[in-house]
Amino acid sequence: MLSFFVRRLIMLLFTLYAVVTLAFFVMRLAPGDPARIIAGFDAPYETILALRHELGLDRPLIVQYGRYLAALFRGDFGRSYNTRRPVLEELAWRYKNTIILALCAVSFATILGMTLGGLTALRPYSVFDSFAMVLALLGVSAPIFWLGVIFMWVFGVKLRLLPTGGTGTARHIILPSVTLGLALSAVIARMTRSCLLECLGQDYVRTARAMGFAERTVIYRYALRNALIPVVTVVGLQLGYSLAGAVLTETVFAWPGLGRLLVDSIFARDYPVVQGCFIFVAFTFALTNFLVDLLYSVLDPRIRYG
Amino acid sequence: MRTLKTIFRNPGAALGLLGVISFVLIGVTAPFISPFDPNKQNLRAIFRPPSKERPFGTDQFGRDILSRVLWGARTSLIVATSAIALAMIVGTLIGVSVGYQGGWADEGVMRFVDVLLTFPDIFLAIIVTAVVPPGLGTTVLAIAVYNLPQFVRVARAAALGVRENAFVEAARASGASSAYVVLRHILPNSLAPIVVLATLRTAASILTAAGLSFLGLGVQPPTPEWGTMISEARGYIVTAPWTSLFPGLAIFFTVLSFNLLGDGINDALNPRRKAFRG
Repeated sequence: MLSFFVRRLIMLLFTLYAVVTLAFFVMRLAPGDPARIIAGFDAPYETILALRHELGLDRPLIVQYGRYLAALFRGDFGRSYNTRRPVLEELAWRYKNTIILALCAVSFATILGMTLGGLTALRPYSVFDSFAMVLALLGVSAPIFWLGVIFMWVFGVKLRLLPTGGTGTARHIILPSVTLGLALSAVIARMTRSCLLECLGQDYVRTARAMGFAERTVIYRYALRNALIPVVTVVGLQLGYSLAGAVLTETVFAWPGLGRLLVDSIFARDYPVVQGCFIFVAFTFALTNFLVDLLYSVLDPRIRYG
Repeated sequence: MRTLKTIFRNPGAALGLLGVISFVLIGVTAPFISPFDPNKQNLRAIFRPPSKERPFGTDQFGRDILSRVLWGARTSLIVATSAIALAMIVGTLIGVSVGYQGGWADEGVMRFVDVLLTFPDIFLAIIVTAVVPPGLGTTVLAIAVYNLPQFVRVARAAALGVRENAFVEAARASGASSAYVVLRHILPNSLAPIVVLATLRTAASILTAAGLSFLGLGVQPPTPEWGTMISEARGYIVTAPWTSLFPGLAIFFTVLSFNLLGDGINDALNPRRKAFRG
């Protein structure tokens, strides 16, 4: 168990290093001189040269890379080309917003998905089952950003129930997290249904029934517990994928999160911020997957990684 | 043939195939079936609600939305098929080669693939658009890069299985070069799972391409593209909701068709494991 943990941890660190390196060099391949972008296109050559020196862009690439890595170790992500403020400062509060959005969306998705999935598994091939599964299929097929726009129109404009964008109150998070959560809930519902169905067909469930346990006990103590293991994994993975959906949701609802910052920084060619966003996203995603792996072995004692 | 029959005994899959065929037909024939020029502006007829003459209404420049939706199918078709084809060819060649060779090349490529998979979904595509200026070609490249790791993985796994066959050993023993063995024996015998993956990835690719365009990082206006149309239209949701409604429905039905077909194929190939996407 411990050696598995250490091995996974080393892999996690290696992945992060590779992500940092990839982000650094890919951004340097991009056309467009940041010094010229900041100074403006009609700036005198001297200003651009001075700016390049100030930003360290006149050094050889390998030196820039070394300095970037060294700074990262000290928690210094560099400064934004546009606002001149430390990248970490720009990222921190937006990251918090994205995490809040992701957590709300995944919680909503888990409650909805597991309820639907559980109920359908108990009445397989019924009208309710077909209806719910069609609904789930519709859920994974609708583009998030379009769903967001439609929800905004229905609940924000027509019914005037909820604010259509921005942050502030708890009411602001409802539309974005429901939009983001719907697609995720479809995946969770399908997973819950198929796992529970599989578990209900197992020998130990038949044994439990044969021993005369109440149907409630059979379902909750035997089938559901075992069915939950893969479902927990899927929920964990959805947390990572919700980051991807967050880019689109944040754009629709003007939610000041990491995804929106990333897209804006790409348009502005603000390399340090773009790198910071990628590193934060990859880190969160890799860390969630790592935790899900650990959780998996805790939940299922049969799984013992050597 | 039996597999095909199993697929279409499932009404959902048959419906999906019907949808996919219509999507392809619309994409191919868009120039002939569109009632208007998709880019023709008419500032005297802006924001016309759906009517008999203009079934989907007009947008902020007075362009016919039905024509733009039909042409949008063409854009999506071009992006999705070229991106999947690119990812499939490059990914398969890499995956099959390293799977056959093994050793440090295999180890290195697979670690790199693991790193690429550290980026959730659309982020891999966004990385590409951060470097290359946006446009139709960039969108194809971005969607191809986003699909590449999946194809490398599946192709490698398939090649690993094929490699152990006696006919591969026979070819090697008779003095065939590695390149010949890979192209003549490993590749043709690894194709089935790769083709299935290509079908399954199409739905996700269409969604991601539309998402990129919605963010402004994909296909650029005035090219008719569903994601771009929604992005432009969302500012007018109060006054002209039909401008967002129809391109969204187009994405929705297209992706739904591919998902239905994909589920059908999945169920037919793994009858014990019903389909679910993770």
